[in-house]
Amino acid sequence: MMTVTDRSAYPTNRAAGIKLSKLTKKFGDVVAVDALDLRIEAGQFVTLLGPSGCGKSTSLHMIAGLERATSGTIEIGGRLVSEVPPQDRDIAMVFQSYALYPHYTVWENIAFPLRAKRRRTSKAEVEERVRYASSVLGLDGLLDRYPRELSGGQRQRVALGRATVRQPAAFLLDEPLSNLDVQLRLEMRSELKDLHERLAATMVYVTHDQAEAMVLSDLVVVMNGGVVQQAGTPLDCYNNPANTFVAGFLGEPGMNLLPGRLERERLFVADGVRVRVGEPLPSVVGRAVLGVRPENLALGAAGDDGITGTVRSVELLGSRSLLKVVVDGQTVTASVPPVVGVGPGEEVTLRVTDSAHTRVFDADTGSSLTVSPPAPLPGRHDTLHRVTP
Amino acid sequence: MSAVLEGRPAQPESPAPRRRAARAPYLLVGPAALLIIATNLIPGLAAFYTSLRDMVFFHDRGFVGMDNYAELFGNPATWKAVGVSLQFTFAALVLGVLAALVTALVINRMGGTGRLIMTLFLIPWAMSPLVVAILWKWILAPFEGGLLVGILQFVGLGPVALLSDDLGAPAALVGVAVWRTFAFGAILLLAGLAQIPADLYRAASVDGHSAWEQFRRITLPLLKPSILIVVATLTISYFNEVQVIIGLTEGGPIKGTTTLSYLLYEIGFEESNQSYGNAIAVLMFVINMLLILAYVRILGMDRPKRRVGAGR
Amino acid sequence: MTRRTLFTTLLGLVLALVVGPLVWSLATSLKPSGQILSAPPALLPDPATLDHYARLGREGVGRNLLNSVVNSLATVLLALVGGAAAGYAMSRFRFRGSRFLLVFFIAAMTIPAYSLLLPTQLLFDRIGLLDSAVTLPLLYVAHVIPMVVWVTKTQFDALPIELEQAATVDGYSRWEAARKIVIPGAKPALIAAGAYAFLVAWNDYITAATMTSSPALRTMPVALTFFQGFHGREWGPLMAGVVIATIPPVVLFIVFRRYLVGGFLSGAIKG
Repeated sequence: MMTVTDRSAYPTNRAAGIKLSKLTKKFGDVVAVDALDLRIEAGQFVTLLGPSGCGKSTSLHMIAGLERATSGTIEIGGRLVSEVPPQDRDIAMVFQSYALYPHYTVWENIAFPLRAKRRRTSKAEVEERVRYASSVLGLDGLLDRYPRELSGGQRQRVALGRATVRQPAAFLLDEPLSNLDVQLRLEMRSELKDLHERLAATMVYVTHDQAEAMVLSDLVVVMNGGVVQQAGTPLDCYNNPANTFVAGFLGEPGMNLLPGRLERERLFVADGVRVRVGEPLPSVVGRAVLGVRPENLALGAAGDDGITGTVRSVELLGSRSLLKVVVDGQTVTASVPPVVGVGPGEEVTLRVTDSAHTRVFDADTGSSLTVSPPAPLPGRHDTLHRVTP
Repeated sequence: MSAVLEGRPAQPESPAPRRRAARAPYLLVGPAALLIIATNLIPGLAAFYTSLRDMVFFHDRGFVGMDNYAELFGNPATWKAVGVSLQFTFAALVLGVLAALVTALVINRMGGTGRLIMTLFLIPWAMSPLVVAILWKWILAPFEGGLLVGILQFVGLGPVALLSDDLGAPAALVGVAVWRTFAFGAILLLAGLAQIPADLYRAASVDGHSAWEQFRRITLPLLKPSILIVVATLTISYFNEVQVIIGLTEGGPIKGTTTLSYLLYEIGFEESNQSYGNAIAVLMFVINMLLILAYVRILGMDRPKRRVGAGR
Repeated sequence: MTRRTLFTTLLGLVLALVVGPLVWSLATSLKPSGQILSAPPALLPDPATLDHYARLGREGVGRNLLNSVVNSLATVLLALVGGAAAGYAMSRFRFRGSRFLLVFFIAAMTIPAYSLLLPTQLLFDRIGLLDSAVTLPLLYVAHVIPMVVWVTKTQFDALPIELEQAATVDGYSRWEAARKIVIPGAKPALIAAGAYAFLVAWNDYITAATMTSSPALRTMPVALTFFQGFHGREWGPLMAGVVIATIPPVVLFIVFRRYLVGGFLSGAIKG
């Protein structure tokens, strides 16, 4: 659908990197974003991911210049823009509500950024660029319509068209898919990925949807309480969560976290838990939290090493079943083949399928104790990505 | 210009580039605010100041303290005017709200034709009050050619000089005031009616309530906020009515339609007795403030949330 | 009698009471002089004549009409510019005193202009502003501007802030965004406020009658009271004047009815 071969409307790639240093935003006494440091390379797709109120949208708004940073600096393409108003930051933004101008047609909406006084674009160029942007997004037949005459998905495309009609230093996208129904959301997700591939543009994307973050990002920045919890490739964040928050937040459902003690010879024990954790691990002995993903648990035989408890429920999802087991008052979830053969009230033992997939966290700080090599960065921009969170 | 469009109250801001943005709201609000201060606050103070002096035909003859008020409150004409004001306001209010309510209830069931009829009903509201008064003066003219006389003759009655009648003149005044404003009230009530969910009536009829019971138990209580707004608005409007009186009865016969606001016109403007007139103005201002206070409270408490002309 | 027929009869009666007088004044204005005082009253003019209108023309009604038009248009223009600017500030900025100002505007919106007219007359006399060409527009603007502020502020509040944010990101300054996005977005409120301002200015009698006295400044309603005296109650020309004074506001009202009713509901436009 989006196979357009003519790229003449995009003669050069103007994608720029973004650097945030000690970026802080306070609303009164509430710290919304706390000393955010982040370096985004040109052409990267970076997702700010976190629960609502984690400061991800505020961060994006600060990059756009829509919110004023309380302290810290923002650089776009090496230029300090902290005091520069949004109109001079050379960015494009897609809003959650799309923010389409209701009194303008689709054509006028898309052309709007080009017709700004400071951009002085010739009529012919406006025509050409709007035609290109709208053909890429399949909006050709809708150019004379008003936003109120469009469906949700079409509005979304117009918002994207308005952003992509220019070649800004960076694209900022604030939960652009959250107002779409599930089907459309999946479809647009793939299109966004294609769009990023084709434009090779810097994109900063805010979402609370981890699937979007996983699919789209070169770099995921997981935030909570205004603080970056982890920045890394999607796979790295998933496999090697930096702390218990990331471990529990990523994955559906998240990683099981069980407090207990780490004994000698990498043996983790707690009431009903006896698991040998994988290497590499610094030689620590004492209180710790065991992390193991539901898909790394399977039903074992009685007497096996593992997690022993009482089945609370079995939730059949179709291709998998979620087995919820209560261990010492805590619920552990295992993702197992659909036909389980056990029912509520039965005692079962869950064994860890591969000890390499276990993670150990500090009992006090929640930080990961597991040392593992970062997974290689995927995608064609490999060499561009050096992440220093 | 580096004004930041934030969706919440701006932070206390320090650096220099902010300063221009901080000045902007004052520049925008300034002209309107100054004009209102110049035409409300200052005249309000001037009224009080002048009422403490002796001033006729713009000629100030010095401070007299509360003399004007003593004269005002000691003068039976004042109390008569207050009485006429109360009677006029109350009668017009009862008739006006009732007419508005009946109109709204009937129109509410009509759909498209109803909108058309409402537009016709609102025409008197769009007219100049003085023009309305002159128009009705001609209709009520007590001689051959007058429409009322013609109608009375048609049904076999003699001519009636309504506007020179003790009872007829105030009644005519009430009638014309209501003629001008009832549709305005009806519009507000129609909007209130439109907000009552139709399901309530369906549920009530399922529960076995008659049409009258539905009106008493659903329509009236849920319409109460709208009715209160209509009552408050029209009270202020009727209490300050002067143009219709000037055009229709000129306060007569024998002061029978001289309300407090017409008394102000007569003494302040026709006789140019500024000091005594301003004492009346202060009295009216105080009464108005009390009415407005009640109005603002009603607005604040019961006004249904809505947006102006939210099209689209 | 069923409830339905009762309601229909009632509505018919009210309709006759509203439309009857309007038709009657129009009919009178078109009747030949001899027919006006005939008994029983002739309902329709026979033959219809424009004599009374021509007579008013000779009396200089054109000047009065022009005064009314100029005053009203000036009022609309100034009130919209000043009022919308203040409404925008009240909606988009939080500044020291903004809450107090809002209460102040609402209070000013509710105070009947007439109740402050006498001291205003005195003040205007002292500063030499009585009976000048700017007297009436100035006062009319003052009378309607609190309403304009309130109506536009309410509308601006309802306009998503994201639209302006998007415009600034798209390369427009705050003021360009206000012009290109906010003003068009507030069109319903601006039309309602403008139409109401016109009605207030056009229909006023009391302010014009007390603050001006020169024949050259007479507006339509003031002129009508003079026709009343000069012609010794000649109802034909008087009703022609009534018709002339009524047509502009009524046409305006019918055209902008939808917007004005929206203004009614905001509590800013009064009875």
